[in-house]
Amino acid sequence: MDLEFLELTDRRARFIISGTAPAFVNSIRRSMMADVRAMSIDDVNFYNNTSVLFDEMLALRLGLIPLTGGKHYLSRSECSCNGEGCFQCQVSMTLNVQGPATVYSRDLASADAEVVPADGNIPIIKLFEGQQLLLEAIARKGSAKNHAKFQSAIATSYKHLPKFSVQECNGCKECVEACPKGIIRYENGSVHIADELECTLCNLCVEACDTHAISVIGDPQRFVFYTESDGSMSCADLLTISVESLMNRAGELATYLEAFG
Amino acid sequence: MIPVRCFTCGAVISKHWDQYKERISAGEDPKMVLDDLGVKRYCCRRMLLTHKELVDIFAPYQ
Repeated sequence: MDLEFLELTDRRARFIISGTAPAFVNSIRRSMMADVRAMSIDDVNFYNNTSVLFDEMLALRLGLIPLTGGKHYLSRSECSCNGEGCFQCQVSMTLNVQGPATVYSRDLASADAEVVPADGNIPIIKLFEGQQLLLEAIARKGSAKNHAKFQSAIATSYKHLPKFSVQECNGCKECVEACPKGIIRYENGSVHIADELECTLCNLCVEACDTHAISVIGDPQRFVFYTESDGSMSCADLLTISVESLMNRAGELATYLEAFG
Repeated sequence: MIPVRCFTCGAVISKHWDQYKERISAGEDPKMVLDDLGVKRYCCRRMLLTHKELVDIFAPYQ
């Protein structure tokens, strides 16, 4: 198996993974979405809310704000406090804004300097003259299996790279015209794909070819993988954590299988 | 208020709202602004493009 990174930043990753099977690539994708755990606001205590939005709506908005850090925090169920809430499993954040003002995610004052909103400029609610928002938010560790707000990986996807082959090209260039991405080039009496990452396997070139010279299929062993992070962790972390989880589960399965002999 | 995340993919789009609103009201083309902000997918683009701010309308009826 081979990895080639085309792009790797904190918020975005794109890489070619080759010499493997779709099932494996898909398991990485699923693990990235469901096994990577993140911090998110889970409970909100309102002390004063005279804004135009109901408490519930504000709480939902607060929950969707991605929070950074918090790797060492435990989830409520695995914590020694038995879910009561302690410094190991929850972070308290306070927010107090007097109108007229727009409340932004950066106004949340966190008890842990590491666990803060990934983006400070998320508008929460616009307050008018005389309105106030005073609340305490409790952030907890969670998994996307329970709620989408805990999902750090966004638009995680992969596609097959094309296997493009041409036999006896007559040089009519119909396929060059037909390609919606404009990536087929005619050179030296035959056609080829100039940028295979762009190919969507739409097969319009195959249909355009009168002599049936072109064949395009998805390569079963080469994929281009794309993911984004909501800012709660870097894409490199997302990938390593998901692969670790996959390895642990595969190890577990191996021990079970051994037990059955 | 602008939804915090895109309904479809979950990307945080509300962080672009202030800048988007400001540049649109300055007369810029929404297409160019969205491209500039790096909002690529059409699910995220429609979130900003089709959003109608209602807070100011609701405010007097508190």
